[in-house]
Amino acid sequence: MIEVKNVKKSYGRKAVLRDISFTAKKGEITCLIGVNGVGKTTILNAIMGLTPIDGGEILIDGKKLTKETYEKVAYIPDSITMLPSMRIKDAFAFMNDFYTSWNEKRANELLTFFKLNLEDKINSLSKGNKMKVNLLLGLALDADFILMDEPFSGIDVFSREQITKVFTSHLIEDRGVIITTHDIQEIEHLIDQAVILDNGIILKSFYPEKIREEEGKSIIDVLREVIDR
Amino acid sequence: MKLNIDNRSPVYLQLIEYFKEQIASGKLAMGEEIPSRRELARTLNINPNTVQRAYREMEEMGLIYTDGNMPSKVTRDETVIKKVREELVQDALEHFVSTIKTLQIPLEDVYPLLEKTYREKNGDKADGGEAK
Amino acid sequence: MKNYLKLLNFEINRFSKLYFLMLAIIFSVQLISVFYHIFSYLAFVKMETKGGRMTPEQFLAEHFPFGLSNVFYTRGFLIPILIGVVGLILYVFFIWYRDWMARNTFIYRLLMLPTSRMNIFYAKLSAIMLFVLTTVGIQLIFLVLYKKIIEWFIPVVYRDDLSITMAVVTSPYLNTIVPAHLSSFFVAYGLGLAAVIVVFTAILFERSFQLVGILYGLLYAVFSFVLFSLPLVVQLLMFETLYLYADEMFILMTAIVIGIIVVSLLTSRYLLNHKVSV
Repeated sequence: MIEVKNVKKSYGRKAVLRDISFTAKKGEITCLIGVNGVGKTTILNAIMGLTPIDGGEILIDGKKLTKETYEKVAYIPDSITMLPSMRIKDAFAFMNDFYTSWNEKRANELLTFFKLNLEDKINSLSKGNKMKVNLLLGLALDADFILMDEPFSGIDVFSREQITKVFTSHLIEDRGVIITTHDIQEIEHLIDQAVILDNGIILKSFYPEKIREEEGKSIIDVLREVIDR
Repeated sequence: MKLNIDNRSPVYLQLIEYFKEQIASGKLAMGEEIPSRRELARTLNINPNTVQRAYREMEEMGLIYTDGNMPSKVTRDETVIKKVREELVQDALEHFVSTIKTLQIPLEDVYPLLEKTYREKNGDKADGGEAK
Repeated sequence: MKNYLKLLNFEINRFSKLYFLMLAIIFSVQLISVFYHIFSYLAFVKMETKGGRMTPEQFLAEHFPFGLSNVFYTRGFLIPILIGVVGLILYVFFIWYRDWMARNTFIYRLLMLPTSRMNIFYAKLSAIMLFVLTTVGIQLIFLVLYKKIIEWFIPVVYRDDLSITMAVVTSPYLNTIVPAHLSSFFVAYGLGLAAVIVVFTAILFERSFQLVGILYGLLYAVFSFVLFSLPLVVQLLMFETLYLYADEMFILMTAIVIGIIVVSLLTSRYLLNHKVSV
């Protein structure tokens, strides 16, 4: 379980996160939906200890982040985290060198799944394929949680389809996922929990399936309601 | 399989509805294997937990059964299937009648229209009628 | 420790191409310059002694014989050294900033490694020290080569067979890079190490607090420098009342430098763990 409690963060005078609290459970896909503005990426960065927070607390399975956390929580930012000059196999070797939770078997399986090649040089790949390498490097860790930042943003439709398939595959299995998006329609039926974020605060967090059952509303309906308010 | 998902009603109920139709119409035969939870989630691009929930409820209703680690199968219990058919027919009738009622058309006028429409529909896809 | 070594190896590999390019430039320019000076000296000798106008003895009475020190003070020899020095100083900054600046932000990966973030710091620090020492070492090897070249081309009468040690000791530039005594070697490289650590800390200040961080970083560097030179300044101002013997001074300054190193490492660790931002 990842618990984000009353997190605050400003850049200079600009408050990016004003009071953010939500919980992402293992075995569920939690989606941070931000219609406009920043904040989603900052939350993920903060969970990973990549940017300091000004207030509040973030707990992962009840504990604060330590270096061991990086074996258990995989982060997939929106740009690739390896050197452009590397080939995929170099990136594999790098991951294998440092992470005990690196699962080479799954990495190779993902390589086939995404139709990539070990010899491919990272900076020669298309944007969609780069995102796939990025996903691959995160998913191949035997991590309990996976955080993905806008995995669908700015890539071609076929890559999107492939990436969508990841969510329903055994590659996610019982792990907890936090994904950010500004376009919920893409994954409307894939997620368990929706967290709507705007101007640094959480407008609403809910289970869409429950809202559909109890109020007969779609995620977009809820979005429209809370944003208009 | 093809399923148009309505964004405003619970996906797990839509799945159950879909399976009921398939079972009632015989498109899914008694004892036939149904796709695994992950397979179905994958084909429909929906959350595996949602499929899981639909399967669990269908199991509770006795629509499907699972032996150990085997894939789930459609029930062999004819009374259950019969009940599902009746239920679906009842639902369709109620829907139909309430529409007719709002239009304030007397029942006698509806019968011939009903027969005509039914024949036309059957004529369109003759083999579809045979299966019934 | 294992992760530190892996990171060090990684840093070295990352810089190796640029580094070899730099070495190639430095030493090819030096080599060309050495040959140029040898041949112009020979041409000069030939001109002066043409047709027995001058005997070699007469020539040497008016001109210096040719030896290593003839090449040391030439531009073709010193500018490449300057390139090396500037290159390595830039690398002190580049080694951190490239991880943030590249299109593919490698800093995410580095900070997310399941290892102490100080390993990244130590790996970068060691990489720089290794490159500096390697460059100096190669320069020494090339000095031997230049001496050989001089022996091959300059006839023994015109040759000043200055030993490499003497040549180095008498050149103020080379003397700084290659101290004659082990103790001065440790002083020179100890100070260099401390300076790099202070600059690293300043860089991390900037990476943690952005614009204000530049100010913090500068203040930190200036403060460290002032602290370091304080004993010397005090000595100068209060010469009458407070006098320290050379070895007392040495111990005091060593203690200050070690203090600066320790404080910088602790500050860097705090910044890396709690303040730095991708």
